[in-house]
Amino acid sequence: MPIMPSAFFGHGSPMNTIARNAYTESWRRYAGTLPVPRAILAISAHWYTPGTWIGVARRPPTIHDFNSRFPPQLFEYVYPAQTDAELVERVIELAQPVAVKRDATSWGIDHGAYSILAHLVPNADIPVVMLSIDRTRPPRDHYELGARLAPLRGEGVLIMGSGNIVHNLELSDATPGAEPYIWARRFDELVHELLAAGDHAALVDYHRLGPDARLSVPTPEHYLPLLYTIGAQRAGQAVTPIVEGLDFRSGSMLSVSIAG
Amino acid sequence: MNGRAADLLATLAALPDERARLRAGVPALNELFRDVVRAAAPPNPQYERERIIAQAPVPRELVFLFGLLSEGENETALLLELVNGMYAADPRAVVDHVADEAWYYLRTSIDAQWQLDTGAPNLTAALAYLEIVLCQRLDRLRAHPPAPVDLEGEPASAALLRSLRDDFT
Repeated sequence: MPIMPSAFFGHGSPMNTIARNAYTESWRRYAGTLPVPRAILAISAHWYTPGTWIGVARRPPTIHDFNSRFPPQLFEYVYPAQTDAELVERVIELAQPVAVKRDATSWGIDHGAYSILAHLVPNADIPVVMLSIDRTRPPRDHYELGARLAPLRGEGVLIMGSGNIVHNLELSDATPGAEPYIWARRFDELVHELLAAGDHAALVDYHRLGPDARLSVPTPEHYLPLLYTIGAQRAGQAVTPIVEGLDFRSGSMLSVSIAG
Repeated sequence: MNGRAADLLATLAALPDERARLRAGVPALNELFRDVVRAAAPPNPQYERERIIAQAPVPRELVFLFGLLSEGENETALLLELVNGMYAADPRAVVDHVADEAWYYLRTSIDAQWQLDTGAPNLTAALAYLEIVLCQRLDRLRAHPPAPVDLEGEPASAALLRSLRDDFT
């Protein structure tokens, strides 16, 4: 069985679910290069919880976790993937000593996951298991949990982190043609360089990377999925960009794949 | 600042450290949330009111739902509860990353441009701030309580019910 990649996607606006643009086309092209995974383990910025939870609903509901300013067709969108009960149990086993709790009712597949999956696996015919991000744990714990989950890649599971390396909603600006903030561009490039250099220590301690980091990662939830992705990286495995760019001046769309 | 806010601040000031202040202050904040719900809810249902408020699982979320707490304030209050729980589970718990997040949410709830901050996050200050603004909002609510909807005064209710009975018979 081929080793599946560990990937990180900058998901951007929920509208990417139903849009066709340079980002979504890149995700689609990337999907065409992959061996077919047995299942996908998704770690989304939008399931950010006290404690670590794993979705166990047989057919996880589609969660429309965005405000009412988005159009009706986005609220009508459904991603009908099923779960993979074996993968759920395997994640719980590998994660120890982190206690992963089962969630059957409170969450499902959120836009952080399906805005990508809609293009990666449009037919929703590959099982998806959602793993939450424990908001009480420091960055290193997320990286270490990603490392514990790395064996899944050899078992046909695509590990998919979904967030945004630069994500400052307060300063986002949808003015057409507006240039990205200089600090956003600098931090995006720095992370890109650190990924290429395999400097995981700096990526984990991102809060030490100065004011650009503080502006780009004002709250951790959109950055932390990257730490799961790189946690599952093994020596000699290269990081390949899938797509890059900055939207709304302060949202990085950088997506990367770590192949076996 | 009203007397209750002053008392809450004095209580916090008398405690020796952040852990003790959160242990005392988070329940006091939750009691404030309950009082805001009491003040914000109209008198109906008259007899069930206190039971419903007492049993409300998260009064803070009701206060947020009523528009009496901003999104950033709501997140901050949630994070204060989490830190209090983390300290209860482990007195030496690492909470810096949660404090950073709470402080960011609170300061940008006041001013979205307050992105960089030279001082360190201070959870006691965040707690005290929430207590003061909630006391202020409670005063304003009590001065202008919501008017009850007159459910009995709806016109033609009897005719509507009789007509529906006919329709569904």
